[in-house]
Amino acid sequence: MSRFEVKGLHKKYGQKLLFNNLSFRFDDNRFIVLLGSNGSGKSTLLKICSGLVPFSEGTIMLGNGQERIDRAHNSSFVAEHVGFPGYLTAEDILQQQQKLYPHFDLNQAMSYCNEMNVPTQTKWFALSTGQRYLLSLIIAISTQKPFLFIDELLANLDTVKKEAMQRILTDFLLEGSRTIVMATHAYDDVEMLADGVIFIENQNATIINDLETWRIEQGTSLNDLFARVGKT
Amino acid sequence: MSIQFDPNKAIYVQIVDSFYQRICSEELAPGDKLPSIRDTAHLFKVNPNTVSRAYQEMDREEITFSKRGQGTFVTEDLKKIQLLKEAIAQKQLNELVLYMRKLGYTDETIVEALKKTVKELKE
Repeated sequence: MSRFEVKGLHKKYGQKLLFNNLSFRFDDNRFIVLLGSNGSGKSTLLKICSGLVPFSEGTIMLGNGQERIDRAHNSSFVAEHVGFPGYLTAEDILQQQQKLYPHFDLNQAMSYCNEMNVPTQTKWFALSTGQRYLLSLIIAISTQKPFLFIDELLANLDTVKKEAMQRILTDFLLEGSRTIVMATHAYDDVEMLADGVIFIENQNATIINDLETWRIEQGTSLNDLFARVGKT
Repeated sequence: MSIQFDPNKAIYVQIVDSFYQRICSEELAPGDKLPSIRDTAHLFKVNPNTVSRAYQEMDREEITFSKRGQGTFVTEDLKKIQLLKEAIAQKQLNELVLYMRKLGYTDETIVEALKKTVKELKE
């Protein structure tokens, strides 16, 4: 059982209140999309949950991990700006990861690279943006941590890479007891993969715990929800 | 094979519909094994939980049955498949008739139009 629970979260950036008593809970094996306008705190929420950023009040549970170190241990955080030393090849990077993370699955990572056309002998600085994103995601998944927090990775990817990424994410979910939380504006690309929604607005969030039931009840799509919201 | 899903409707219902269509047309024959949840999720590019929900729904309606550790299979009860086929066809016919009435067709002209179309589509 790997539950993802946030209770009474407060977060301030200087004078700016970002979250005011935010609470929600998702049970395991979920693909949750995190929606919200720019500056609403999507990235911050992901970083708080994965233990990269502190918060003032509240509790966050990732599986059995509540302390910041345990949450960091249980999760991977992937974002556009995450980088590796430019002189390392993809294979060097993967081997380094294996030393850092005892459960790192090097074979899986290498076979994903081959399958998704990420050249393993090319140095990081020479990889394209899309290849870098894919490699970052492959690394995150191969560390075998149950929680995956992704900050807007699908934007600016070509169709082939988008599909590759969707495939990797589906595989990740199939492992069981896994949770993906993905902040994105490219909701079209994840509409079919998502089964829950966190929608941040006014220092709090609207939660759709069961997106399928929500679709039946509302007869509308995530796209429409976001279009409605984007205007405010 | 790929399906364009309508994001305004529950995805699992649309997955069920697509399988029912294949079962009725005997593209998936009685006793056939359905693709695994993994394969279906990859093929349709949907959440595996959604596929699993679709399979449960078909099991619940007894059009398929799942054997633990072996997968999901099309029922061997031909009567159930026949009833499913009739139910789906009836639903389509009802919708068609109601829609044509809305357009202002009388019942007789609906029948005539239908006969004409059947004939035309044959050629």
